[in-house]
Amino acid sequence: MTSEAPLLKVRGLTKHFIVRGGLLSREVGRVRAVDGLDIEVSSGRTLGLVGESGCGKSTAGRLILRLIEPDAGEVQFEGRNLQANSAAEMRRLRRNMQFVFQDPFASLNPRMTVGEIIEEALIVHGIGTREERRDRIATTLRSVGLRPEMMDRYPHEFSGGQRQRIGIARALVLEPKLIIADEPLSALDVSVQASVMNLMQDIQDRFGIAFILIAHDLAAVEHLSDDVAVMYLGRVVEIASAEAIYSEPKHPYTRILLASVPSLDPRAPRNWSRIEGEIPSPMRPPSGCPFHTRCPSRMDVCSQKKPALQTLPDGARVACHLYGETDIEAARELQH
Amino acid sequence: MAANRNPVLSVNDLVVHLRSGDGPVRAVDGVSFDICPGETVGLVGESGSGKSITALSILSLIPRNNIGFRAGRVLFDGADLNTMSDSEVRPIRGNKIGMIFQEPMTSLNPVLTIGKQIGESLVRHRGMSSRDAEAEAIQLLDRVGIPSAKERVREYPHQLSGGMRQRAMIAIAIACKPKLLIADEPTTALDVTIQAQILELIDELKRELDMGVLMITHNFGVVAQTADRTAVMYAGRIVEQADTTSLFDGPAHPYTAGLLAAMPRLGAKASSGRHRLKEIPGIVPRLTEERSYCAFAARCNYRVDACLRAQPDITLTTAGHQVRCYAPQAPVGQERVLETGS
Repeated sequence: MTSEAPLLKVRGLTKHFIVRGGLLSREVGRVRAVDGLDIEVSSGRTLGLVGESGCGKSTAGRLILRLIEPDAGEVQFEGRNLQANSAAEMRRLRRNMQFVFQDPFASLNPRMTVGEIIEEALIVHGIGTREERRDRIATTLRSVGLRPEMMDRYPHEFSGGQRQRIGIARALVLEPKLIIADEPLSALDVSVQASVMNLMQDIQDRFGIAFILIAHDLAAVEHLSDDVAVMYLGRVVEIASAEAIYSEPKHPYTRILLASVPSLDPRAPRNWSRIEGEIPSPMRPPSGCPFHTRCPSRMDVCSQKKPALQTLPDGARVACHLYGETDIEAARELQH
Repeated sequence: MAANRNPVLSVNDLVVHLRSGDGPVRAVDGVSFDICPGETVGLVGESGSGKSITALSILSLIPRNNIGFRAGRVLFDGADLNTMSDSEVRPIRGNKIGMIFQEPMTSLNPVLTIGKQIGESLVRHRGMSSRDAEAEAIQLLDRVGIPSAKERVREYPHQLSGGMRQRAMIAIAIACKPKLLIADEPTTALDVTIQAQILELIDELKRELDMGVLMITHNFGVVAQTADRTAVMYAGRIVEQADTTSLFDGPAHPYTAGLLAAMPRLGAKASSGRHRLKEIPGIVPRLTEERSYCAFAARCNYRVDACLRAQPDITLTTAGHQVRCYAPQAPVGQERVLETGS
């Protein structure tokens, strides 16, 4: 990880959704969607956020942009605290932080031309005259590999891959410093995914944009990310450089996750038998370490004490009692 | 291992044209493959390649008035499913041929208990009493790894998690000990750790019941890890077919080679660092036009004149490695190389 001040710094971000039921809509439970998230991203770098369904990765992206209001925690962008800002200030900051959605079919208004869809963002932020805006849209379309004259066409005239390029153009036209992309590849075919991944790298190289890439495709995340955070039931269990996570995973969950991906090499040995059980409900997360119910290396302490995210000598951060002082501390606690 | 046995399913030059507002859609355009007992054949392709329509046609699950034209043979157990009436196919489907689909929530009946849905086929096809069928259903749920099967048998689909629903679907599919299992994107809606469990389960059941399995997926990793033979579909045709290791080691069709080169490899970052992926230019062709040239020609870097004059026939590069291409990438009898598409 880099030593320069991060562009985005998230500390203790938390969101519990209240589940209501019965005639009086009383609270019947809470989903701990995101439970104390600490991450940071620097300019020109990509942080991958991975995990299985219900791990909170999508909610995390929306909390950072305050598309959902967090219950607790702090989001700092260029050193300024976002939560403390007024709506007007928030809008100004949001220009610097854009979102790219999963489904390029559902996220583009079918009754607007591509030009109008992209221009809308500029109008909302009061940028440019009509002429200037058209110039800027043309330039942006070119930088995502589309032709400027395509701005007068409607979304249905484009293929899935082209629509995702339009989605990226809409985010890019505001010249943001950070783009949060939530499953930008999962609706696309393999042959199209490659070109969208190349495009993301290209615009990062050209404009120095920071990305948070939220995805379940572990190979794509590795390919695009500098750092990767692995989430499980609302918490980060491991965060390290992509190289370290994929070549030397530390958390038992990360290891299992990577071993579960079917290899493209038919000769690769399958390592699937040691995976136990299902993901617990985030409404009733297990005590102690949330992963202990499925963990092949669980110890007594794991069901009793929640491991903190700690930094190992090689810079990787991991929340697991197998590493470092936490288990010594816990052992001491148990003795008393 | 399965090579010397008679195939349980033999699909021969299957053609299925669907009706549409824009004229006939040539969804399946001359598809042939065999599946032997105990063998998994992977049918892999991108959306619109015709892989799911192939599966639905084998099962006669496409409504007849949607079909504009159908030809070819689908030999199962010596009989041609393609010429059978609905009432003739019904005793085979769900009995001798089991099926699993992508989304268990939409394929299971939401108002019937899991036990009833498993029992249904036992009562219908095996003539069991409903009490025997429930006892058998409990055993089946237990076999597919659903904990506390005795209680679960009385539950409804919505009470199960996605992974458990897919296990219940598998229990229904294997209830009558089928000779053939057709699995259409069985793990696409599931998380990766659950996917691994389900694929492992299908593999175990294949060996136990000596079933043939047709594994239809867009995921090349799933095929690499489960299939004995792999067939790659593009625009309604199988463009390449070989035993799985040979296909992944030396893809002969430029489309297969291009796809494999376009995918990032897990664990590659430590050695190759930040790099660009190889792209396949262009998009898939419309299936509404009659075509007298190779469907991949417009996107192909290895195009020769012949590609634009006629659709390529099946040729063999090595024993059992079929390809429909005028310029295959791994020439006959030569050492195959891993590096492709450059």
